[in-house]
Amino acid sequence: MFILVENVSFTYLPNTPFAVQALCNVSFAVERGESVAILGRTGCGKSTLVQHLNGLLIPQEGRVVVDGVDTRVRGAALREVRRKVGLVFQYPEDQMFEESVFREVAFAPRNMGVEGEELENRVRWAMTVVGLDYDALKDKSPFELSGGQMRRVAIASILSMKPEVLVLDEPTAGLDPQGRTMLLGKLWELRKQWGLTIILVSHNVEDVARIAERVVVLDKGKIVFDGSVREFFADEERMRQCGIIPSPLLQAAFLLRRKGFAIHPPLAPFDFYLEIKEKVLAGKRPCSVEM
Amino acid sequence: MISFEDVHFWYGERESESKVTPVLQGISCVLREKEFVVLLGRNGSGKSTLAKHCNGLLLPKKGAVLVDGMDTRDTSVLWEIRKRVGLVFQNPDNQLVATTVEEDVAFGPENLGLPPAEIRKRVDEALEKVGMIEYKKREPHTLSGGQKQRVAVAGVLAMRPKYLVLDEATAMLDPEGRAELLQLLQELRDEVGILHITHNVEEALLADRVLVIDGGRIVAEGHPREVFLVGRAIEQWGLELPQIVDVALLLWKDYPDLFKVLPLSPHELVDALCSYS
Ligand SMILES: Nc1ncnc2c1ncn2[C@@H]1O[C@H](COP(=O)(O)OP(=O)(O)OP(=O)(O)O)[C@@H](O)[C@H]1O
Ligand SMILES: Nc1ncnc2c1ncn2[C@@H]1O[C@H](COP(=O)(O)OP(=O)(O)OP(=O)(O)O)[C@@H](O)[C@H]1O
Ligand SMILES: [Mg+2]
Ligand SMILES: [Mg+2]
Repeated sequence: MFILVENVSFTYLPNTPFAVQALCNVSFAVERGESVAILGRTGCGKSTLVQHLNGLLIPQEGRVVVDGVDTRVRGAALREVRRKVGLVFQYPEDQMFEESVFREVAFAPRNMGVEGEELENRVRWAMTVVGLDYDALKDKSPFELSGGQMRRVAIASILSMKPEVLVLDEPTAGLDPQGRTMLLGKLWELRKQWGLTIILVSHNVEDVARIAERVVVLDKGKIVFDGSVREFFADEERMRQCGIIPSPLLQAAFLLRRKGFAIHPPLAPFDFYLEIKEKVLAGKRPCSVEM
Repeated sequence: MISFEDVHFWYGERESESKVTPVLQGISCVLREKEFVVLLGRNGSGKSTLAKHCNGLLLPKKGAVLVDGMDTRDTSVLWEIRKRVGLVFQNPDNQLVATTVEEDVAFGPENLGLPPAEIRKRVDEALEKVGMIEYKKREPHTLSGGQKQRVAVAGVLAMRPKYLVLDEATAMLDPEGRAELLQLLQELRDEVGILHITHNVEEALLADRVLVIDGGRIVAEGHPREVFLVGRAIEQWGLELPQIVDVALLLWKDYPDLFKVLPLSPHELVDALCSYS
């Protein structure tokens, strides 16, 4: 087992009147190379959970084991976990501190001993993957960037350490539609190329449809669903119970199913278009052809 | 009405225009009273910069921004402008300053010099509207991402502005929170002029008018049904089509008599499909 989360509970401000139990006996496991989406309502514990995966938070109860190492260890072994598991924060500002984009993206690989030309190549590569113009932006301050540019720097600065697991907390929030499609496409490629394991927190059903194979849903700190994307998207009622509103595409598919058409829940507009032609409009000729 | 008149802007106090690429390059547009406008555009195209011009947080280097006729560069009316134009920032951390949620939301109304009872009422009302009333004693920095975003919206609502400028206020919201905020915007529609910046093209379908900005210029403008008719050419501006529009345009090419007007919602699409014979 690559990543094991076992009976993890976590409470913020424990033993105070403001105590908030964010995770309650959470267990799941991720195999190398998997692509898992974590969903759930606001405040259900997603960010808290993913911060456990690289040892940023240590379970108060239960344990998290990454490639055989329990995150409750300290020192070198914990640093090894942090190197293997790259975490991109929900708010990019929370992870930035360097005065230039170059230094920001170079920070992690430099700490790992990468230097000189190799470092520069690494930074250039990471910035290109997220669609940032290396020459135009490398000397800018990260704090003088637009929101979406900052998000891209945050992702690049984790990618640059070439982690084995990439954990992304709302990675597409703030990205423009094309940037979003490009990023998800690149992540998919990296998965194929390196066997990268991807764990993604997202409120966006379309992102999930595009990149994840498995869905884990949290509700008030507990796991309430763990299964395949197809299984999750096939059940409208369960989606809504979990606080997920189906995408417009899925809504249209559900409407057609209620009218008796055997439409599969589509993952992309083009699939849906083909299915409509085959199953809804079959036998009906466009009038331009009749004429 | 908020009106932009040939607005140019670049960052950097001392830079002259010839040395920099201006971020806004001649923006002319308006936000009318009680109008719901959605602003779309790729990363770095100038949306947040434009938003910060609406209440005088940034001032044009050339051209002018007028709020109900008042020039944002005129310091004597800046206070009145800030009262009328509420701005929600892209990152709520830049907006949440106080030590508890309710103090944070009270910050604006306090600055308006309202009596304490009125402040109380507005704060509770605003927190109620965004579903955060139970959190009013919490410290803002202990909230989750989406919870912070809701509080930031409440802070601006409590000012009861005449114009509301939302810079990606739905970005961190969960689907229900997003639907609730959009519903709230629909309700506010009769009272407030709204400029809503978003990367979610589906949200643009609710607008009276869509503006697309690219390279610091307005490159498209109109009702969503018109703007999205450009089809996949919309990618030239870093955008994509809303899902239903994408499917509909594909079908429309094969079946030219399938639709009378471009369907925007799942219902409109399915109704058209089922009534086609
Ligand atoms: N530093 C903190 N101190 C106290 N409570 C916290 C802290 N951070 C989070 N919480 C609380 O813990 C719960 C879980 O928060 P978490 O950030 O994990 O939620 P989330 O699922 O990531 O939500 P979102 O979708 O809004 O980002 C929430 O109720 C939140 O208010
Ligand atoms: N404080 C600043 N100093 C210098 N340049 C800046 C500053 N803020 C933004 N810029 C630059 O101005 C341009 C426009 O930025 P702006 O934040 O308006 O874009 P945006 O359309 O809101 O993008 P996003 O969708 O990523 O939020 C970008 O190229 C950005 O790098
Ligand atoms: Mg979160
Ligand atoms: Mg912006």
